[in-house]
Amino acid sequence: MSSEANSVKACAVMVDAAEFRKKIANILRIAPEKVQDDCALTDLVSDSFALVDMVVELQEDLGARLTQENLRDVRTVRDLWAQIEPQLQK
Amino acid sequence: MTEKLKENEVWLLSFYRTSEISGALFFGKLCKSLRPGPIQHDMTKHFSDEAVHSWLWTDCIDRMGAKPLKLADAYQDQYLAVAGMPANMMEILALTHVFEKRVIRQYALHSRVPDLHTEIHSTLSKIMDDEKWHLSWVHDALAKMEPEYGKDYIEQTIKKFWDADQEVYKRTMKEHEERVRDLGILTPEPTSGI
Repeated sequence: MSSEANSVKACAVMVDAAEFRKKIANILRIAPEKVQDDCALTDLVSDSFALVDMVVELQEDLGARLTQENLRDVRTVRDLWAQIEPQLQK
Repeated sequence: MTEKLKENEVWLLSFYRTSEISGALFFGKLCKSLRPGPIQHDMTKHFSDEAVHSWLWTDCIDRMGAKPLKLADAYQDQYLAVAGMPANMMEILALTHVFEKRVIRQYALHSRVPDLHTEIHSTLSKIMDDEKWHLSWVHDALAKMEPEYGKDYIEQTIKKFWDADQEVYKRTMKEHEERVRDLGILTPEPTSGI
């Protein structure tokens, strides 16, 4: 991990979908049961910038890397997990 | 002796204040998520500057005998609807690069208004120096990301957000045309200048 560029790519962390949901709850400081697979991400956050912040923090935590293209069709927690999970299994 | 602010001036300075607050809150939160490194370092100064700028506008409005208006949305809030959500640090910095250019242009334009209140001129001057540094650190950070993302891809990303900014600026000017015309700030927007 190069702290020089705040790169997030190097150390992907192994988590499952349940832990992923817990991480989201922790970042947003909401009850874990509020984060379900079919929850719309926009319903979990107060505004769009909070969503940007959450997505960046998830990547930092998990060592994943997403682009705007990856998020084009992401609406729910499940959609986001589907984009991140393949990177964790490499 | 304090010169009285026009209603439209109070609105515009409150608009600046709201934008600075939004910037400070966004980067402040983001700084908590980042790992230690040069980006975290410079972004921490960036958000503290934005917080100070919001104070400077608050104080400027107060000193001129008015009260800041409570405005719901900041200029940059419109970016996500037009350009989509930035998903990683490079995209956030590319968007920031475009936004900082917009801020500098707007403040420069405002500072050239004839017979501008000295309080406003002085506040704009104080803020402009910081804004130039913001542009500089973001530019340098993006340059350091070139080996990872590629120079062309970073430039394409900046161009995409630049186009979005043009759209947001056009919409904002249209929505508040009367106010900015009254203040003598409405000028043709350049078509390039990334």
